[in-house]
Amino acid sequence: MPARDAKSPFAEFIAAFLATKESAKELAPKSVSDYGRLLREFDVYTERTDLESALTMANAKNWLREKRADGLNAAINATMYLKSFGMWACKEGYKCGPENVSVLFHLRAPKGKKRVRHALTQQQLDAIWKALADPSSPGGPRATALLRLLLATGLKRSATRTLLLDDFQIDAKGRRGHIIVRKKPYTDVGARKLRLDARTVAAVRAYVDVRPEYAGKLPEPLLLSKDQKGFTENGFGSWVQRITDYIEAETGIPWTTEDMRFTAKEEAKAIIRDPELREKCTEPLEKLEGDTNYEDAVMDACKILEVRVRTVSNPPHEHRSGWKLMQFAFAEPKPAVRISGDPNEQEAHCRCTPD
Amino acid sequence: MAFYRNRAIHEFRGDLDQRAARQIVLWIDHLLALLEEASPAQPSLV
Repeated sequence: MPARDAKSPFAEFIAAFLATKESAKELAPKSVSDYGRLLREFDVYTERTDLESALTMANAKNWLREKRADGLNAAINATMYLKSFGMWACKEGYKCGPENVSVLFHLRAPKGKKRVRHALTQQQLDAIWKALADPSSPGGPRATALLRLLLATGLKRSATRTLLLDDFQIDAKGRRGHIIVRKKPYTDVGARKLRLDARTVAAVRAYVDVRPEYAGKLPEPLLLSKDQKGFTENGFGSWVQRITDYIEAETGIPWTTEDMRFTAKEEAKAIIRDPELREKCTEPLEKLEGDTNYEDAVMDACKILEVRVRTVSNPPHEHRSGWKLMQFAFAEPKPAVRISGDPNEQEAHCRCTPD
Repeated sequence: MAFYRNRAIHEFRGDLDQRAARQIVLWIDHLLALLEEASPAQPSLV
């Protein structure tokens, strides 16, 4: 390898820097390629000059100002990549700043916007499913299948990319099912079997029914790219971004896959506060085996509610049960029990129709 | 019970899987908490 010094072309240092990172296993292969791409961009920006002339605070700041046009995250990443390179160049003795630290030591990345994750409401979810059912939706049934999987399992979106078709299993009655999440294909080590509700199974089946034939190597992924192969990381990220943008444009809901995951986790965590309800309903709700009838839990909850509403509202004989009781207790304009100052919210609690 | 089934159908389009059942029970839990505030001693503000 030819000897390099600060007067050698900047480009020559890129490969050496990446090789160091790779051999130390500090970076994943994708990150290595991202670092390489960004550093080559910087090299072009500084007109393919030598390390000494290129690696300066002024050049770095000017280049990062341009990178802001690619988005905040792109600018943050570019800053961190360049700083990492600067540290390496100093450590290797090619170029340091006055205090024997990287010349980019004082370079600061733009501040990222911290996005607060939020659990989606049932109404928001309904709006999302409706938007995804539209023929103009990017990905159609495939997008619905992905989002349903995220909601049912709480998986990270990166884990859904590598789910396998054979690991999607439908139960004997064809309604519910499971998906196996593997750390590595073909091995059960660390594999998790996650339950899928009826809607998720229906969504995945709807996608599988229209899914193109797989044209890649085995094992066969569940979600295929449009060229009938498994998604690459970047391809998957782009597709998910298109879905996210589409949903936000159609529904006005600022949504991310992380929100869907968070919704799943929050729902699983939500505890029943009423002691009687908790005692009666927790077990039937948590049962997972076979063809569990979750209506038992709903029935028990309804019975408890009916007794409480009756106690509070003291209804006449003909309004002592069912929807008539609820109408008597909560319906506007003269509810027996006012549970909300907002008439719409009050009404929402008795939105019902007779059998 | 018809009221609740109808509510379930309205909110969850009738497919009472584990998630939907959980949502209904949590909704009833919320309603019970509101009822507790509207105690029998003062059943109505109307």
